[in-house]
Amino acid sequence: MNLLKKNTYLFSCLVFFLFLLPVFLQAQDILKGSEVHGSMQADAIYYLPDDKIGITDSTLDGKTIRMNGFTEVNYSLGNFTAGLRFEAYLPPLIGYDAQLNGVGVPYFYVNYKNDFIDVTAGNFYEQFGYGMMLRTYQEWTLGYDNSLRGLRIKLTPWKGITLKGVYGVQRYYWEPYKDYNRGIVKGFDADFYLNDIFSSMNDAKVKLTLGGSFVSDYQQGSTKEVAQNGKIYLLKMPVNVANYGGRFNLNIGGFNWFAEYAHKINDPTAMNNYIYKNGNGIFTNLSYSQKGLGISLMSKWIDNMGYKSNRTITNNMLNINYLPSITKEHTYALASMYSYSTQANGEAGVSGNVTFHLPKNSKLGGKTGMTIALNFSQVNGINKKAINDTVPVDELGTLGYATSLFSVGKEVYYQDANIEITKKFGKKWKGIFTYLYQTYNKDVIEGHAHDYGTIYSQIGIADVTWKITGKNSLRFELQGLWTKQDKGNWAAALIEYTVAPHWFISVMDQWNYGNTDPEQQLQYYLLSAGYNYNTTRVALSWGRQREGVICVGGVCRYVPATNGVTLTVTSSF
Amino acid sequence: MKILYKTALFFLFTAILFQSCTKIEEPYYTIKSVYADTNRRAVVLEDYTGHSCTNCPPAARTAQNLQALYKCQLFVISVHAGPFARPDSINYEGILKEDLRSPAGNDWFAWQSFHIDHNPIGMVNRTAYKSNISFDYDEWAGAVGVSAGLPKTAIISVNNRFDAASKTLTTTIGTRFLMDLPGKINLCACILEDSIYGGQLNSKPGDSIPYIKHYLFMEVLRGSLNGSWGELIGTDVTVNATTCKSYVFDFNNQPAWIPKHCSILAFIMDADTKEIYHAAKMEVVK
Amino acid sequence: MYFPEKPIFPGLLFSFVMQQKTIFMRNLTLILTMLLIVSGAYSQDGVFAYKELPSVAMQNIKGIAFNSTNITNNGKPIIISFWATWCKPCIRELSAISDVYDDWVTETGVKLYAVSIDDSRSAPLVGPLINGKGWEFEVLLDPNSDFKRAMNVGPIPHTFLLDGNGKVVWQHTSFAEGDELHLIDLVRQLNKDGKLTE
Repeated sequence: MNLLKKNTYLFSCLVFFLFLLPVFLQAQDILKGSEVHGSMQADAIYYLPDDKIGITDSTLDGKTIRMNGFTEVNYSLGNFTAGLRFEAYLPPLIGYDAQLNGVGVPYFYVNYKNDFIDVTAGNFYEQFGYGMMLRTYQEWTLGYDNSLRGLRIKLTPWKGITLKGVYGVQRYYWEPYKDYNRGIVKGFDADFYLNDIFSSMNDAKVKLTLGGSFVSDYQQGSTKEVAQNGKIYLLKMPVNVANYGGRFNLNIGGFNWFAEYAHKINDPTAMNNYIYKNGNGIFTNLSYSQKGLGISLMSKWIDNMGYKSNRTITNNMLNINYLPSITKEHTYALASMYSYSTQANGEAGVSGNVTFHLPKNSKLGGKTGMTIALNFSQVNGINKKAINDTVPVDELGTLGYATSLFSVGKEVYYQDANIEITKKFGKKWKGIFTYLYQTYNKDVIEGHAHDYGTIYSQIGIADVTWKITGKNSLRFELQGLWTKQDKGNWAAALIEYTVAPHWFISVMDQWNYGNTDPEQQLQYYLLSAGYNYNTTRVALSWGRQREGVICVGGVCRYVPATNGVTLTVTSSF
Repeated sequence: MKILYKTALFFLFTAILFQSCTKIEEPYYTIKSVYADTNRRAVVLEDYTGHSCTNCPPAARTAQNLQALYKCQLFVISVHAGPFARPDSINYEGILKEDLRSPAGNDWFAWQSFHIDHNPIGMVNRTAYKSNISFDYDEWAGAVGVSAGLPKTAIISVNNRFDAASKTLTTTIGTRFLMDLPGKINLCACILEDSIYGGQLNSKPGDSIPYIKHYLFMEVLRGSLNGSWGELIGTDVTVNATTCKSYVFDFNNQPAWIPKHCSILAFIMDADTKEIYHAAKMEVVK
Repeated sequence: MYFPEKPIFPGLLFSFVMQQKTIFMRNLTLILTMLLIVSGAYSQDGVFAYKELPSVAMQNIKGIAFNSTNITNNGKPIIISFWATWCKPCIRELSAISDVYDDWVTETGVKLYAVSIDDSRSAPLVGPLINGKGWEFEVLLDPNSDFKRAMNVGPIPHTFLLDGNGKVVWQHTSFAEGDELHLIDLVRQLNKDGKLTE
């Protein structure tokens, strides 16, 4: 009952901000200049039983209607801003963590900002450099939110220098912070843009930024008992685990070179089987741009860089840092079926991208020109050598293994080579044609051991839009995935009709026609329609969702196959 | 002045970060000596699991590990309950068609204050360890260590008489309290069955296969002889108070249960907080 | 003077929602409540207007700090469009605008800022993409979605139109072929009348 009272109170504050406060504000001179803004989203699904994909009434367990929703309101006056977000999971959608069940206000803050200082008390999201040391962010579609609650201070003491300090605890579902049930995160970041600091460099062609961060996580408990191998190990635990490093960004005309290095001291956790090895991470990106051509080359080295504010959890929560995948993110259904997710315990990757435009009336470009994008990425494991003859690699309570920088392992985790051609055909037609070749090491990426092997697949996609009139257009998508492993070949087709600016309707089907088991040659059909009015959008869809992995950045969420009617409402003001 | 102010703030930040590095030197661990002490409190470790729970085999191994070390001072109950324990006869070649759930297990799983919201998760004597009443298997060793050091609250004796012809079990459970205990005390008598073979999904790296067709389930909770929360045996009991309870169970009602694999686990607990004070176990068939 | 068109008793409303007996009714009433709140607040006037952009640190395409307060266009209209390399409708919108951008600039003097919310994973692909496609607008990087949050943007694409004084006069989510025609009409209206008459 107390919880209901608390939530009623908080909800009332929210509604108060929107209705009674504005009336009050406009009448008061001092509070003139106030602004109120916010946004909301609600995803509700009515699940239907579907024998073919193994969902029966008992699986649904009576909870056939589920909903994830949030409403956020922000108030600002002069240099002050304050806001809160109300979230409701009644109960959470299938594929989202069951521990999210409930309603509450997990996010609120007060902020003061002027030219020199920016102070936030409450929840905040922050990123240091590339993110290998600290990144707190929110991704609603993933159910990911590792916001820090505490204090953040940003200073710009001189032009070109930005200093940031953070101190707080991270969000863990609805669990209040008490008795050190998670770590306290402290961090400091400094960023120097030399061209603004040194007047001699103000107009130089070479632009250089340097930065450094230091993050530390305090977790109580200097020993930990772990039962393994028929014994109880009393492990010594480091109460302060630090993760620090530096970065630079060099820009000369069309060339840009960015690199970041992070070093993490001993951090024995359930994720790395309690080894005491240090962690190292390097990321570098070299790119060249000119009109009509863009090239970028990236490389990445991750060695034991998982960093959480709780040693014992192994799910996707309480990550302090962010280790994104170096591979290209694909949005077409079949191209993203086998998606890579970063292996924090060790991986080495490279990725190259070239995008260029063949102008109109050139030999290959044709009458309307053509854009070609090439991408290649590969991720391997790292070479782990045993520390001595008697201790196996990754043995609990030891240094774990030895490796040297860039000693890339032989095992291929993922490979992706693709080409994408965008072309217009006259005034009414345009198309995007993509071909991909992917190699997916299912055992490593999904955490099995030696039973699924590697999946080699070829994918072809044609995405064509026909602009019938100024406001009506029809889009067709045809996709095919060809592989001899896993579930075999797939085909997918989509037709989408839009009437600008308000309506759309689409039909999509994904068909696993190549499955070796005829019973499993399922079709995943989906019918959607929606209405859009300025910032409000309502969409309704009905059909089967294929099981899969939704990845945004390097964070993935496994979604089981479902069948149902989905209503999505979003709006902002 | 402003520059001084700015510099001071700069150093304030860095000051926060002093002592923010703890480097551990060899040796990284010591092996804890475990003494199974029957003159101290018995510990009940409940492992909430399910055959579709891919992360559960390592938790079961941890429980077995601890059982081997604490011997007769520790009793493990494997509670199959929740969505991951549901029988599934369609997927995975039908290896998950067994239903290892029990009414008592379902009630314990659904009890709000236990916060059983994912698998695997466990409880040790249903008391809080590091502020949580239920916690992941990495914490079980520490929690069992704490509970096993507490003073003994009672002596429980379980006497089983099994009539092979009628397949009827008569169990007599005697309790003698060694200290005063406030509140209502319940006695719960559960049937556990060992050596059940069934399918189990398994997905932890380092394990050998993705699903195990003939996985050995031990100490599976089959049911309670006297209700999910047991039967009241005393209120505000004093030292040397004794009680005696008898229950009869006909194995013909559950033909799938094999009597010689079954045992009776009796434990006393606080009826309101659910804290377990002591336990004892005896096989059905000697 | 803002007058709340829908007077609501907040506490009663929430209790009403939570007391619904079935999950269906509870979720339905919660959605309707949230929509009611939002629709009641929908208007670009009074307290719900962005009189000027919030000050948020971002980066330009060269990785150099760029504050949102530097989004200016000499008193001419500004379009801010939130996009990402992985958002196909966003790419369609910006491609459609790119085809006619030169004409738009010559005719109205409008300036488009394309704010990419690509995070560390896909931010390195922004440069090759915009140069490869030959987009002429100014691209800003918002890798931790700070500006996106400050502007209360949900799903992308989300486009804002600012008048010559830096005040937000119109915003819109999602993209359909032909939407760009409506957008340039609004810009022309701004140039002619100084405000929108929608």
